[in-house]
Amino acid sequence: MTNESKEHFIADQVRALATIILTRRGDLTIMETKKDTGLDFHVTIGREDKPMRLLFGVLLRGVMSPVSPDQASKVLDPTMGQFQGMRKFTYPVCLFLFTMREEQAFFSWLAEPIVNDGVPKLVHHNKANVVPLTNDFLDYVIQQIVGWYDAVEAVLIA
Amino acid sequence: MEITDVIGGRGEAIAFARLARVCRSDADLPYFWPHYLGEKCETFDFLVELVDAGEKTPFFFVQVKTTRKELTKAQVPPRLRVEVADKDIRRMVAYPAPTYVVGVHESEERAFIISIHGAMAEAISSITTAHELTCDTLQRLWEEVRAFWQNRDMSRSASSFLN
Repeated sequence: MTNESKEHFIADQVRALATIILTRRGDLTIMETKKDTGLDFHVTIGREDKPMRLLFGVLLRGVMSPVSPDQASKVLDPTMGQFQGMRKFTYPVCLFLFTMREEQAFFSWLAEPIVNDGVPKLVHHNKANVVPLTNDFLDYVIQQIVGWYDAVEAVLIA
Repeated sequence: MEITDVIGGRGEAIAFARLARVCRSDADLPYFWPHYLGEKCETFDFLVELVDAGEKTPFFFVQVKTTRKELTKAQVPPRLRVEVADKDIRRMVAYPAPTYVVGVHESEERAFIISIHGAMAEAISSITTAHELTCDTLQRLWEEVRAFWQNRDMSRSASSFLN
């Protein structure tokens, strides 16, 4: 297997692992992205009661060997750097990192949805702050995104 | 989107991830690299290449069947309640390559494999859980498919369409 093939393989396996984690929740729909977004998935949160489409982006990365969260942050720093100086995201975007052998899953925000005193902001991070990606943590992330869209809706829609 | 599409998509991802697990003791490589064939391919979901199996790349085909139903309780080992139509079985055995069905238990995220070969022609109403896609099974599957292709010289020495 050439290094190029290995990269393609890792990209394929990472997409499968991310799909498995995201589809454990019944309310997420995964869409392939256009290449020019630089992202791998656009994911919508199914909320029929909301007037806005609740969308977030996911960037996927993978490495062969197991890593600690600190090492994972270092692995992701070049990826975080790639987005500096580019056009800012206008919706939440996160990063998943998987290791192939142990199938560890890690999470970091690229564009984190924050609500301060009812005001929604998207904080664009330039350093990875990696945490293990568990089902509970994904639930927390989805809540955070929904809360941010609620705040956006309150500001935008009269 | 129909619910069956959602389960199927998740099932295919589970089958892909289980087939592509990196668990060899001798190298940081998987045994297999599956390739999605897309919705237009009626019979198979994946063409699966063997990794690190020599100069020529052996391969096999896989149809994925997914369920949320409980495993059967009466049989040992229990069986996964997935159905494969007789038409699909006949199409699979007609291929001059190894063909398999991977059954996926969607909520447990487990995958099981059976071979479709020889004179098989009847529909299947459930599959055994004896061959779960663990590292041991992946190694045995890799050896089985490699042995199939090793005994056949498929190289071509002539063609009408020369450049």
